[in-house]
Amino acid sequence: MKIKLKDIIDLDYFISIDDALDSQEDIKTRTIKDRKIYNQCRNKVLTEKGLLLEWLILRKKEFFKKNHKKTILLPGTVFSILYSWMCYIMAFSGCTFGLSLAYSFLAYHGNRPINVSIFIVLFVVLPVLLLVFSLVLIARKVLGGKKTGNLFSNSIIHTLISSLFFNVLPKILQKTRQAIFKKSFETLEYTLSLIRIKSREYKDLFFWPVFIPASVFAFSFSAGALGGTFFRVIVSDMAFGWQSTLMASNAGVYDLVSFIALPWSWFVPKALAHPSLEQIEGSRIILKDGLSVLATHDLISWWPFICMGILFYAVIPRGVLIITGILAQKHVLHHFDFKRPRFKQLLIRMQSPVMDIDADKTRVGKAGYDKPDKDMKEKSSLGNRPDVSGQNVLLLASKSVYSDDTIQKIIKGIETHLFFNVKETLGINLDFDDDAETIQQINQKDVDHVILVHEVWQPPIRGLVHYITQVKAAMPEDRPLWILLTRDAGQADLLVDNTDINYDVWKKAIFKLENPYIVVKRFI
Amino acid sequence: MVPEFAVLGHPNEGKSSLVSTLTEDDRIKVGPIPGETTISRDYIVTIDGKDIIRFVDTPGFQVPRQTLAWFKAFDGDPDKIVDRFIDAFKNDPFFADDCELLCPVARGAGIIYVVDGARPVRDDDLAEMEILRLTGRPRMAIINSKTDRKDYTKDWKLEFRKHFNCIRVFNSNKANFTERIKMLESLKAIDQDWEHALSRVILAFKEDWQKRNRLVSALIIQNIEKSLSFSISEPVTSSYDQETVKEKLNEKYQAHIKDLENKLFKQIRAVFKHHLFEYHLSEYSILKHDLFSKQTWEILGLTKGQLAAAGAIVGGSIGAVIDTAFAGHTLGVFTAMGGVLGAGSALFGGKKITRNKRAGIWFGGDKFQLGPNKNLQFLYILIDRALIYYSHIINRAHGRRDLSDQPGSMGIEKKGYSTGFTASQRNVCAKFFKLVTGSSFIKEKTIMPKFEELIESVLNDITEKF
Repeated sequence: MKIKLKDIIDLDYFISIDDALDSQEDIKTRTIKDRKIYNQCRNKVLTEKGLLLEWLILRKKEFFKKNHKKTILLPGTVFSILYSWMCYIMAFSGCTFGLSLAYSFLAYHGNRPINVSIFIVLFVVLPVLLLVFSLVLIARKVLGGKKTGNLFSNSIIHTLISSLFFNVLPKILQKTRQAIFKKSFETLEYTLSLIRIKSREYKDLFFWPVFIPASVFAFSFSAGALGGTFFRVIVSDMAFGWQSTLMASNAGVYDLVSFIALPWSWFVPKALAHPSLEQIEGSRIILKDGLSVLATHDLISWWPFICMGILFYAVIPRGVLIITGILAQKHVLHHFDFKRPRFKQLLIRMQSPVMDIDADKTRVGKAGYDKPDKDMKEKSSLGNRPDVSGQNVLLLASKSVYSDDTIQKIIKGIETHLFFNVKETLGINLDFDDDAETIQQINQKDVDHVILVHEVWQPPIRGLVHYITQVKAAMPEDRPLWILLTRDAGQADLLVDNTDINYDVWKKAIFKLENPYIVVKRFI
Repeated sequence: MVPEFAVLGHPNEGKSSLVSTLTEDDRIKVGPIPGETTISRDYIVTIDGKDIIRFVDTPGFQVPRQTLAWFKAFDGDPDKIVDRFIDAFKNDPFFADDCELLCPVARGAGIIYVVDGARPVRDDDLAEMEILRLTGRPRMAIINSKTDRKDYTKDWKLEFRKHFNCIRVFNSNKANFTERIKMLESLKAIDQDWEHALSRVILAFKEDWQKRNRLVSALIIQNIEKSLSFSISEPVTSSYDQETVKEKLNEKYQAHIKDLENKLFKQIRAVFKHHLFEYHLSEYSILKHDLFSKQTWEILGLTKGQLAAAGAIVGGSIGAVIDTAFAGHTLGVFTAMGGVLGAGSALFGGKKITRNKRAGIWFGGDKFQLGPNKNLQFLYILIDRALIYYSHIINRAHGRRDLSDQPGSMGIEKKGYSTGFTASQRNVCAKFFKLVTGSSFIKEKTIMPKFEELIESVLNDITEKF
């Protein structure tokens, strides 16, 4: 099953909506709905990716049904539209620039031939240099290393394209109140904030969508320049010459030209591949001798070489880069990790049976309403809890902050809302040196996730964030570390509101770590 | 030497809010997001251009455990421990905040350690207390209860006793002048060397407060005088609707009196250094109601009996005033307008005057005049509103950033200060009223100083009461 970038964006959008649910009732309803979706598609979908896609399709249907307005665009669609526009703008502007530059550069009035060296530098050598730069970037990106993204992020081209794509274009759209976005400004805002805020989390996904328009621009520019040159050659009388103070030998120029023409000289007729030694000699401009001595057939001998140069050194490589970018984007999407905690929690929610204890309203009276069902009580007791998702969790909690009773309350909450099976609880001191032994144990435990419980009101000071980073570093890279935030441990109610300003502070602090495997979650 | 105190603590405990209240500077950035203060800032209190005390607002501890580990491992001269720490980590971004906050301590500042009493004690706090103990500097702990939700004061006190010379509960959102003075008194106890300097600071603060009260008293009296003596007139021609003129005059009169009151409020606010652009009063505050509203006149001013007694001094029309003031539903607002609405007050008078006009359309005509207000209750309304505003302002801590005041109950019983005036105080008021409105035949020279004395004493009472 193929997944598109817009699907991932929409998926993120819906998950964010679910994360923001505040009331217990809403959370419960959502959980039941997710479970229902899973039950609907469990037989036809086998992979987790497929399950998420199926969930997305059904959520989209639900979304549109709820809004009764199909004109509302989801963030993924907004992104796709913006992206298409961006590519068109790049193609059009590149083509216009290239064509007009080449056309104006080749203006020949019969009194002096066009200096072929300058033309080559501008339309062949410069694109080649930019191409080499792009290749270096790709090589660094492919070879890995965290710094690659930063290098690319800091490049002028990337900055320009990003700002045009993610800032200028949307602002124009907002101002012009385009009919298509009229009802979708919220999702447009979301798309932009998603890219701004999550470009680090999803940096692999957003690398190519910026790279491709840049290549489209370069391709269109060179293609435009080629077109402009051709047009000039066809409709006007052209003359090319060369001059140099340093390079006195015609043979040297011939060797250089032959070398440049290697990519095409093996299959193109010799007369078209590059000028001959005589033609080079005949097109050399020596101002003191005057221009009248130059023969016309020598002066026009350069144009096939120039056109071939642009084609082979600028147009074709850029085209190849665009194709590479498209393929690479597909590769990244294909290998996108849906096991990361953000999606994992949805999968777990879907795959786990919904456990709930509610009063039986049909049995009101001595035997029913007032007394909880004994069997039910036993089922829900901590000692006999079932493995809710098959996902085992190691719980880390400060010994001095959380009492045993509170820990039990938290465990129950984790099982009910995160659907994890808390395998073990370890006491910590939130000090890396003191906890050295415990942290070593974390690595050895056979668990799928690690949850660190913390009070939300305690600000994520540098020391604490450093501790979290150290704990994560001691764990296997793909094992998620959850920071589960509760209220003051001494209070009966540990639930944290979605609007809690401290929760926001925590999210920002953890986001800065740029590690998708460290997730902040509030206790609900 | 100017005493210097560094206000230290965990992020988001209310350090900036405390400094703001202590220095009466409401422009210090205070917010709910932790870590808003990233560099230390000095706030100096000056009197007559002389620095008298310096408070340093510092960033919160960011790496208390790591800092404590270093402090514990340090085996050099204990007096130089803070300097050595800063030397060792001044270029390390990991310790940047902790170095920054310890800089004033290294300079020799005393320590005011602030915690939020609404949250429990945690290990990081213990580490911070231990760091401060190891600095060896005189220190005081302040329990700053930011919310009334939960109170862990007891637990904090228990821990503080192990690490600090002095402990105080001080709510930077509610603290008024008296509490600030008490707080400074406590600071004297943390180091004997500062006792003399701090005594001078306290004296300077008290003198300054007296000066402010005298100033406010003068401003209030000036405003009352202007308001009571204000009159406005408008010519009427036979072709013009007299009722329209009356209505227009009434609007102008009220607008002018309200404008005078607003100016007074602004001046009081400036005297007490409240620079917030808009001072927001609670929806429940009587000051939210219009000066001429029915409710204002019901709640403020004297009771019917008090007013009748006071009327004897003013004499003349006061009987009629009382009658109209409490007749039926019209009450104060209409009484104030008196003649405008035909209630029979002497407020309005039709007076034939001669006027010349260059264009020569007419040379004479009637003129309607509104004011000076002859209603004694008006004086008490003005006094009450000014005093209520004053009490709001002096009890508004500078560290507080929420906009509204605490809601108070609103009933029809009298809420102003004037009902509490003694008979002799009311006597002074009545004589002042006669003097200002020009209804006094014999000008009593001593009445103005007596009225000034009265207002000043009421202001002092309000200060001490809180």
